[in-house]
Amino acid sequence: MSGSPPRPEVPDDERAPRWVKVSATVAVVLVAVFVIVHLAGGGMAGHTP
Amino acid sequence: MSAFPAWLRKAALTVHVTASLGWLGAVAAFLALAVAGLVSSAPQTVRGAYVAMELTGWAVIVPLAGLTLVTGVVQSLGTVWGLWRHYWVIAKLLITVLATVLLLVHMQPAGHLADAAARASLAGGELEGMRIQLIADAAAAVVALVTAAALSVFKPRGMTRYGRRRQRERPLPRPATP
Repeated sequence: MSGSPPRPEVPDDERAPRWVKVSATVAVVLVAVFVIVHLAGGGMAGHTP
Repeated sequence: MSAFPAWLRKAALTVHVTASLGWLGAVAAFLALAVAGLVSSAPQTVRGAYVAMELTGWAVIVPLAGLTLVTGVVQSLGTVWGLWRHYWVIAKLLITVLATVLLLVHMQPAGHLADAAARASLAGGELEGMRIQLIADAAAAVVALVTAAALSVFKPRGMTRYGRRRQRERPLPRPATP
């Protein structure tokens, strides 16, 4: 039984480069760490008027 | 928006590079003051460091951050690079916006420490958490701004879907590397 037709391959030059994907992943991790550290440290104490 | 004439492109680039590297240098000085404020045992040094940090922040760092952001956007829109066509431009924009927002937020603890330092000595470990936080924040800012500078020089490849569509609609000459 034949499977579904193969999805068209996205040409290499039309995909986001690897450095973009890696950088975006690192940024997401850093933002998560930032939020966790600030929440664990008692919220935004000292940052607000 | 059509591309700037060459003289305007170079003038805008000069302002943008000066502002962004000036921002980096000012943050490095801010970091040095933050470290001095934490580790020094001399009350006058501690007091002076935190007062200088607040002054440097509002008088130098915040204006340069704003100028970097504005000139970066203006310059990208006035050149063939555009603002949304290349991933490295978008990455720089995100770094600059995030760094500017976090800078404004963290000027609050800097002002709090300056007020505390002006009233009394901080050499006894008072507000230590906030003092360490400012060091960490300044160090992170240095890393972020160096990353932005590296993106400007290396301009890693990668065009967005929007950029490729614009390129197909209106082929443009390859951007000249400044």
